[in-house]
Parts: sequence; structure tokens; C-alpha cells
Amino acid sequence: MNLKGTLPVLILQVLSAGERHGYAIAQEIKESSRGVLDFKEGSLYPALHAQEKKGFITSVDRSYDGRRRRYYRLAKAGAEALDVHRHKWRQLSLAVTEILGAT
Amino acid sequence: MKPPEGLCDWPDYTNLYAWLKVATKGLSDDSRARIRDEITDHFQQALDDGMRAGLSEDDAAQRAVEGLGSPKSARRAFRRTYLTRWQANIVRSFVDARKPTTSSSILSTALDAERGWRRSWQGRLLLSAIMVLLVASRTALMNQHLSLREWQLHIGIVAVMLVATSVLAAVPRIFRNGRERMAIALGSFAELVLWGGFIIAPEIGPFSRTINPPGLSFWLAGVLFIVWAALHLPLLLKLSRRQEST
Repeated sequence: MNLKGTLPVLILQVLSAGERHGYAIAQEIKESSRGVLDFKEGSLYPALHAQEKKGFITSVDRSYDGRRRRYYRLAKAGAEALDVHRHKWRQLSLAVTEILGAT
Repeated sequence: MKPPEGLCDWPDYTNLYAWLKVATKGLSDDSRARIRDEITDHFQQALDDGMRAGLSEDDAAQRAVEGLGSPKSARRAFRRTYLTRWQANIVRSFVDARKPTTSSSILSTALDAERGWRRSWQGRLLLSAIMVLLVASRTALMNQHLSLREWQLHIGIVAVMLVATSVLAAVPRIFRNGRERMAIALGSFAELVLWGGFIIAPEIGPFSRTINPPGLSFWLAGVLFIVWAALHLPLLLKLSRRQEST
């Protein structure tokens, strides 16, 4: 299923559970949706970096198995943005369910 | 294909390097290094997982790169977030006053004066001031018989150029105070004004009416504006998107 436009929110949601690196974020989104939400992993990093520039997430570089790995964490502004997105999504979801359920 | 700099001890994962080359093409060196480190770590993790799942190293590497998707799509997305090499150079020229801006680069090359100044903004101020002085003296030499109105126009142009010079000198300080977008916008406009003044000033007066093809300088100013807009507007839009969202 096409993830267009929803990837940034899904990233914030995954990070609300704690610190993750890019690969782990990608796997968690795929696994949590039981494979329904599939995306090319190369598109994850532009989305991650954009969220960081917006101040929604922060990152830190650490050493892992002899190589550098960047870990991401949800920032306060990101948590607030996630709450707003959740609320909007619930409203939209309810409205669409009402319409589809009525036919 | 050669591995990217800093990854010389890596095995020959040609597909990964090709992917990185396309995805990061045109970005600044800092951005490329960051993306390269993250994608190679991602690739390594996907490779390990693939091999644990029973794939050969070649197959696992192939699947890991395929999982990244189109490098051209990634490049388009990265370019929306990161500065290109050109844009990074423009920002650096404004922020680090020891580096000449476009308008002062010709003079700094000729005089090599900027490097000698202890306070870098003084060097920039000097170079821009010389440019203004050149315009003023060029005006005086080329237009001996100016009317009062034409003199007023010339004095106005030189005054605006002087203001632009002061703005240019203040840009690094504004940038360091966290007003990134404002600093770049002011610097960009100051540059436009300096070049614009330099081109348009000789057009006003009797000399230009008799010798120059009419309107040539205005055409040049139009070309200057288009070049300026092509270089600076995408940068300003990118910075503005960043600040709006924070």
C-alpha cells in the first residue's frame, strides 16, 4: 500500500516508543502493519532527516559493531505534532468509516 | 567502482556505491558524508539479516540495495531537505566573511587583501566599499555633464550601494545570532543591489545616450536578476520551509 504523506507520522509514532536507528524504524513500520504498509527503505532517510530539520526528532551518532550508527529520538515538538496528527487521523477515519459503513 | 571516501576497507559492493553516487549527486560534502554513513549502516544491517536468513552474500547484497528503491527518487527527496553544493557555497560565502562573496570575489582575487585582516568583517567592508568607490569614480569620469536630476540619481545609487555594503558586512553576525533565513535573504539582496548598481549607474547620463546601445545595461541587469533568482530563490525557499516548520 502506498505510504505517500504518512511516512513522517509513522516515524514519529515508532519513535514515541523510544530511541531507534533507521533500519529498526523501517522494519518496525513494516512489521507493525503486518506487511500492508510497504515502502522503499531509501525513502525513509529523507523523511527522517526532514523531521530532524523541523525539530520533531533529534539524533545522536554512536559506535555499533565497529561502524557508526545514528539513533533517533522523539523531541517535544514531535510529540506534540504526533498528538495533533493522531487526533486528525481519528476524525478522518471516523468520517470515512461512517460513509463507507452506510453503503 | 571505487568505494566512497572513508569506506576503503569495505568489500566491493558495487551496487551500493552506485546507489549512493546517484542519490547524493550534487549535495554538499557534509550532507553526502552523513547520508553515506547512514545508508551504508542500513545496508550492512540488511546484508547481515539476509545472510542470517540463508541468502548468499551476493544475493543478500543485491536484495539490500533493491530494498532501498530508486536512488533518483531518494535524490529528489534529499534535495528538498539538504543544500546542494552550490547553495552550501553561497551560505558559506555569507557566513564566513573571510570567504569572498560573488560581488567582492573579483576584487579579493586582485588585491588578496581579505586574508590579511584580523577581523573578517572589516575585509568584506573594505572590498565592498572599494566597489562602491569604483562605481562613483566611473560615474564621474564617464559622465562629465550630468544634469542635476542625473546627479541625484547617481548619488542615490551610490547611497543604496553603501547601505548594501553595510548589510553585507553585518550578515555573518546576523547568521550567528540564529536568524539564518534573514541573514541569507539580506546578503542575497545586498549582492543583487551591489551588482545592479554597478551595471545600471553608467546607463544614466549623456555618455550612455551617445556611446552605449540604448538600454544595454538594463538588459544586463535583467540577465543578472535571472541568474541571481536561479541561484538564490531556491535556497531562500528551502530555508523558509525549514523555519516555518520549527
